[in-house]
Amino acid sequence: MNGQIFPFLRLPTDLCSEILKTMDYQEIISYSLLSKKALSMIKALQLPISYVQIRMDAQLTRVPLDENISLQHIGTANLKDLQLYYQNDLNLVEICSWNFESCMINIRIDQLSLRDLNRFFKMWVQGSNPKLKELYILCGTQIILIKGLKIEEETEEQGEKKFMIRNVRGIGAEISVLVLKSILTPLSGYVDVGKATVLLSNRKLDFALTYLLFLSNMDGQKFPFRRLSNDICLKVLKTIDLHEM
Amino acid sequence: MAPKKNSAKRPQPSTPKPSAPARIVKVQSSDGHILQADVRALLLSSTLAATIKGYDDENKPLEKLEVNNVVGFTLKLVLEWCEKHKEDDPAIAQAEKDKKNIFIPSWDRHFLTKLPMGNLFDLITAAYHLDITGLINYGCKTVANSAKGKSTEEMRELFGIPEPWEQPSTSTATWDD
Repeated sequence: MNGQIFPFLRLPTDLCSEILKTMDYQEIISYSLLSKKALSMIKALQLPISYVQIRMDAQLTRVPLDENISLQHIGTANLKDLQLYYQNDLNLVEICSWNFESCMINIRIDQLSLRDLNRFFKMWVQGSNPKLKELYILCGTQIILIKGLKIEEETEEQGEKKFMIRNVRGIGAEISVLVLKSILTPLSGYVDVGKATVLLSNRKLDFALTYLLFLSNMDGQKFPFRRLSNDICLKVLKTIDLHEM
Repeated sequence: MAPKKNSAKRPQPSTPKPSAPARIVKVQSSDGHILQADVRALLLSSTLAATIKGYDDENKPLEKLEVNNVVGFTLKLVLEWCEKHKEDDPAIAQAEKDKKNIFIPSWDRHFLTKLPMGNLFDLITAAYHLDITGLINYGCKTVANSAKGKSTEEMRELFGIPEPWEQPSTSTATWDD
């Protein structure tokens, strides 16, 4: 069969039903997911399907942005991993309202606002992005603005600066400023940088490149035991072994 | 001897039988093409069969049948299929009409799958207008087979069904309506 479009919706409804009826259930269910109209057509067939169990492994790649789908739509879509490449209209403050676990932002140096990045850190400290585990920002500078941030610990080793901050929930995070020089990157390859895996572009980088690495550290979580009511405190204590009491 | 598989369920392929001499009539398509066909082949179409019967009942000479909603190229395909199946028992096609598992004989499978999707669409639509049950059955099953193993997105591509956000912004109607 030649790989062309079969204008299914232009068929008379009777014929659409005839075709759908002869499909296997798997294809019928796939078809029903196309649109509300498709679903109602399948319902009209009154097939003996009592229930359907669907497992979805969704992965969006290379999403074109237009008037109907914006960065805000994608960012708030409860994603596990998000990678952004050279978005002109990216606002680092705006991503505070996004909902992702891991994010990599590839940004041109002239598009990076250090002030906005600083505000993002402050908002994270205030409790935004509770799901966030990793944020990588790839750009061409090693300057970072930490003004107004309560730095718990600051270290510098071989040109790499690290700052420890903590948010209102007691979750600690490490801001790392990494400097990588003259990297010959593999084609669309992945390169491990410390704990993190950073996707590099497929071009030869012959300039100093700075990575701002932001890792939330779950180890630093505190359980506010004293804020529990006395009854619950007692219940917790009763379940603890004697030598720990 | 090797056992026969599901031979009882499958329609038997058309076999030429000694029969009455062919009665040939002219058939004109909507774009003016004139083709020739055996009346027995045309009787597979309920629509044309009714017209032919009308002529016969009134004892009028049947010189030319006009098929106003089918173009010449598609009509040629329809007549080719009907010619191949003119000896078939119409009851077989009727019995298969509501079946889920329709077996497509090899000649029909080759005939239908070699067609580009656009022509297959025209052929099925023509079969629908002319009410040719067998061709509708095989055509629909061929389309269903082409969707076999396809995901929702692949099916959207095959059937040319737009994404919900690709609806025309000037209209109040939506694809979902």
